[in-house]
Amino acid sequence: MADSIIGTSPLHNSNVARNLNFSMSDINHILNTIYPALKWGLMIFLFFYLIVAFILLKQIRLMTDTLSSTTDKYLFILGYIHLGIVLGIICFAILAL
Amino acid sequence: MLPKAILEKPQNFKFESQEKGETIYFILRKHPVVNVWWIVLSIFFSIAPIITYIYKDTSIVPVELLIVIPKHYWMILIILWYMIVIFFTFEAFLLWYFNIYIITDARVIDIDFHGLWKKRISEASLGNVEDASYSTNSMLHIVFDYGDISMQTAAEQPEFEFKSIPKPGLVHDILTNLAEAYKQKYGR
Repeated sequence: MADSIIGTSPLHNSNVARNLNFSMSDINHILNTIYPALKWGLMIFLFFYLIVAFILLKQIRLMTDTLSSTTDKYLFILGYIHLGIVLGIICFAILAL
Repeated sequence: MLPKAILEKPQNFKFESQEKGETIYFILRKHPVVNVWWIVLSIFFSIAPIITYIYKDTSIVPVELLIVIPKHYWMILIILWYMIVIFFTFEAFLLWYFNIYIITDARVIDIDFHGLWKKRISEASLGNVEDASYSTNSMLHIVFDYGDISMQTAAEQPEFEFKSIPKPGLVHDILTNLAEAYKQKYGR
């Protein structure tokens, strides 16, 4: 995956590369190393974020226990929409990256 | 539908330690104006990637810098970016919504939530309210009619402050009347 990305990267034509005084193989090496690390970094971040989304639901429960009103259900709907978005992004990230 | 910053004698609210027969006179949140900063930031950070994308071929955005990052890296950055923006916005809204001040016919209560975990509830009996004053300290306070109410109390927490609440004059009036009525009825 990373190879194909590097292969099509506009970096090859970029003045930045020349200005930075890197050789192409150096840059290829750096990008090859960074991409999987970044991808796994994102997955770990999303995993922790999923936990935070559950914590947020707990937090809404705690808050609505402290002060309850008829609008509580809308907050829970927001919380579940948030959780849904997180799950959607995780699925998207797994499939697309 | 939108949550209000001041609710007078709300019928549909109940709080954790509410006694039987205790009437809520006010539920107060900070004035909506104090939310402007995070709403503006959220909108700005939400549209920033879109604007960058639209203007990527113009001189407004440094193309050289953008072109270096391959497409798949962009995907990761955008996902990270929007997750942080969504979390920041949702959390800021929840903290505003649940950081409230309650005035009942028996006491004043300050409910504070800090971040994801911390919750702090302070209260003082109206009989302990010694001196209440309100202040408006800036042009915004005057334009949007909000300000701070501070109370000296003989309770465990010597000073109560209701910050940035709407209609501080009205709330102060009713609060002092309630405190007086409570003292006449029950003493201290």
